[in-house]
Amino acid sequence: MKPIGNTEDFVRRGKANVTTDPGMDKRVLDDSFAAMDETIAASGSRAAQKILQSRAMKLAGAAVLVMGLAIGALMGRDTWQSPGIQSVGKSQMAQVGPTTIYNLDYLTNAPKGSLADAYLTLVSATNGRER
Amino acid sequence: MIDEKILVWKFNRGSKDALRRLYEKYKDDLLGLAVTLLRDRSLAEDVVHDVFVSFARTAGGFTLSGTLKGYLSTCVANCARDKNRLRSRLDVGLDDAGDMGTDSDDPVEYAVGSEQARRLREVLGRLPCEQREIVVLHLHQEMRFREIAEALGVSINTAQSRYRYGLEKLRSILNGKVDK
Repeated sequence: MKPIGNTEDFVRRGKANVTTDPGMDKRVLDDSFAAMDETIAASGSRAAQKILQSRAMKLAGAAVLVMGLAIGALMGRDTWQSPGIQSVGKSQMAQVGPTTIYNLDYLTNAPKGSLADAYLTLVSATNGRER
Repeated sequence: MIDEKILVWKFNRGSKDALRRLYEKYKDDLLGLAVTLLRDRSLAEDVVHDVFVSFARTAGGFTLSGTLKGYLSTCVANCARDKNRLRSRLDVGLDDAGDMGTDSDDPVEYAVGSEQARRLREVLGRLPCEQREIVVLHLHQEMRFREIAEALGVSINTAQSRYRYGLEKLRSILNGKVDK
């Protein structure tokens, strides 16, 4: 004879109906929150590391470098070829003088003791020292 | 179900409130499962604690296939199995559990429920662990055999046969008790 007609029903009805106590809730939640914080912090740094180490990131870095060099080279080439801004050789400087080379002729008419005059004197003096 | 998915989505984005709500939703059910499998309230609390802490560690990368209740119940069953193995190695008796059948407010219901739960724990304790967990997961946690089989890493046929053998053994134990 069975104590209960249906064993499955017996098992179902015997389900333990327990509840957690506040102490347990606090312990579980505190530890779970701490574990969650650790995981999120770790995954954040891992993600950043992964991005930095990724092939796409390396390729992007190389592309930026190449573009930078190319732009720099082009700008340098333009500067070199521009007649107005070409660097001046020492012999050329000696022949013509700094006021002509740097188009400072208009300052020669500046009144004595003015700022323009002082600047012109300074440029000429520097040139004299180089020589 | 949608509510649960939203909570899991929020949990994956680091919401502590979502984790708290998921805990509140399943804590009693999981504790009941652990108590049934372990017959020890203190160990059962440890199991629920360990399961939730492990679950919290999956934040950001948790993917839910099936139900969360099923997932957590399986975690509890696995953890309880480990604790049972450890306990059997330490040779601690399974009958040390106190009276923890029900928290009902009605004294009559409490007495009946408590007695039934105590008897169930007693007979379940005599089943092999793998049969006991499938019986409890199916009848208490209402998990399908397919779900249980996937979670425990066995075939559906194995899960169903373990369940059948478990029920037969339970029936024979219960019959034997009355026949005495």
